[in-house]
Amino acid sequence: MSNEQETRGGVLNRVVRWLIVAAVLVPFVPLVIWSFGFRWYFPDLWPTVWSGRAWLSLAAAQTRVGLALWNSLWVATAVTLLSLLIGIPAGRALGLHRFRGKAVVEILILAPTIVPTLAVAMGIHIAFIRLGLADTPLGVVLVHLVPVTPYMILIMSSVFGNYDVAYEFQAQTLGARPWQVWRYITLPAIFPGMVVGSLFAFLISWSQYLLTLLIGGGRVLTLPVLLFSIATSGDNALTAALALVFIAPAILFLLLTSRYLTGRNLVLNT
Amino acid sequence: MTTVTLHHLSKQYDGQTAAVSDLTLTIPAGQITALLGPSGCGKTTTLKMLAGLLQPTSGDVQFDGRSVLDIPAERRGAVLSFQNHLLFPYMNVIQNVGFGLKMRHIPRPEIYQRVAEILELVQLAGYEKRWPTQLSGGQQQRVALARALVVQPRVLLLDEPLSNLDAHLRDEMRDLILRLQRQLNITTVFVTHDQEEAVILADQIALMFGGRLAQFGLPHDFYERPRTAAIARFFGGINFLPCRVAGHVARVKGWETAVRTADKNQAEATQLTIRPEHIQLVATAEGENVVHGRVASRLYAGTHTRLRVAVGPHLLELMVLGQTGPTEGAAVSLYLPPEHLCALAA
Repeated sequence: MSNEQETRGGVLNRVVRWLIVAAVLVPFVPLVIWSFGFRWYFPDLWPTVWSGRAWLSLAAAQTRVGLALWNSLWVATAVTLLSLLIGIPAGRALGLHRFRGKAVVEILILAPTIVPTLAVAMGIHIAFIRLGLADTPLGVVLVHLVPVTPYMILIMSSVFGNYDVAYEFQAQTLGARPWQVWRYITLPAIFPGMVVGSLFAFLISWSQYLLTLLIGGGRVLTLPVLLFSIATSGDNALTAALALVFIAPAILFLLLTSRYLTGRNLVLNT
Repeated sequence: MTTVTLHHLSKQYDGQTAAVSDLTLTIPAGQITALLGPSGCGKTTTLKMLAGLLQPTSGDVQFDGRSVLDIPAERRGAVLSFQNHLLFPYMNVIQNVGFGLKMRHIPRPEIYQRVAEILELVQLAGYEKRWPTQLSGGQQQRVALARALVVQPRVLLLDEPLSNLDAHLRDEMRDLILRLQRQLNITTVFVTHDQEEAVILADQIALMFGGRLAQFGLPHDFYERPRTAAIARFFGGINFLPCRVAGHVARVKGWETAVRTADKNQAEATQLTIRPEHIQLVATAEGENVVHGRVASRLYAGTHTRLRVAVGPHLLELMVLGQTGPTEGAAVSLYLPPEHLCALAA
């Protein structure tokens, strides 16, 4: 009896799991079809003519696609690293310490997620023009930090909120120098949180369109910028193919870091 | 072996009353000293200042007569083992115990050898590959002790080493600490709020109240020669008799006859105390230091029975073995040995 129940439970489990996978993957099916469809008009269920034209032209235009891919990659990576550099100390301060005006600081840190980006971006643009940062990759990296940093700080402060700093004292009294305490105690404890934060940071930067366009002034070509310009040109097949290229690294990154997303092993618990 | 000296050591956190004030104390080399006191008395703060994890507001900490205040915790040679043993959760036993050696860049073969030796000492040989979560509370405590001892510290500091353990594990751990400390001869300071723990483990006790040293001495002194009523009470003293003392003669308020105390004359003494276990039931009605009263209540406590005897206006508590002794309401004579009658300053 119990065996049967278990199998039934197992089957149900598997069905649900595949339904979830399907729910994630199904939206991509039209993209794949689009990218290979040459002529696809209402009321046809399938494209009447199939072709690899879109993919071939992507490959032919590899200079632009490659450049956009490369720009997107290094901008997102730089933004992620910089936001870690800000988020770890800030999160530590917010998670471990109580101080005057902490609530105000927390609200100010969250502000960029509430205030419309465009409102801020205009002002930043003017400031960046003065500073000579407009139309430069560095300016794009810096402006991406605006929407990214709040999430990184939020994640790191919750990581440090559950962190027992006594482990650091224990290590120190056993003879660990400050950098050894960081390397052997703090880093392993917060690493899963850093991965989760990095995932958010990378994906937020990766999908920035407006800020890149505004501050980069079209000179800093990233994938979203290229995608929009092709989408507005009306070539559905090419748009679909590029969209797939755009999504692939994000999914790859998500899969690589998924084991840290379970919420377990996030911190040193007492 | 290292002698630890505290000179007028004080610690004050911003805008608060002093956690530790003017603590002067010499902790003898190679012995176990307990810092005892109720929670919030500054004992853990003192321990952290010895370890170098806290900087004192004023005063000095010396190891063998040399100030160590400018030596950071990681190079001071004093290892503090925290109360909840704080084993690093993503390190197994061998990595935990070898941590201090690794930080000192000691070659791996030597680390393994020394860890194996110390694990043998704490009776955990064969547990090298276990993770902290796979160990019982007592085993975790022993790993923590091994981790502190393996670096051969000049001073071993233990924060409540027995408090997280069950009764039988406490005895085991106590014996282990005593055995290792005698074997390795490390100057050891531990913090506890439990006077019994302090008495069974320590060579001498420093009792602290409100950040100040109340009394420093042998465990025995705290039972037999407490300096104040508060100290006597902390060690379970219960019989307090208001009195005036002149020479060796004490006149207890409400008693007709004076009693003799062997305690050195404390001119300012206002109370006498005697421990319940020292009061004797006697048959003779006459004699020095014999007082008369009536049994007010009996409380059976297994190994002994606690009797409360009303002598004049005061209640005296004493203990008799098992379930013996006079019944409630019976008239009794009590002998208060002069050498156990202790005069207390206010």
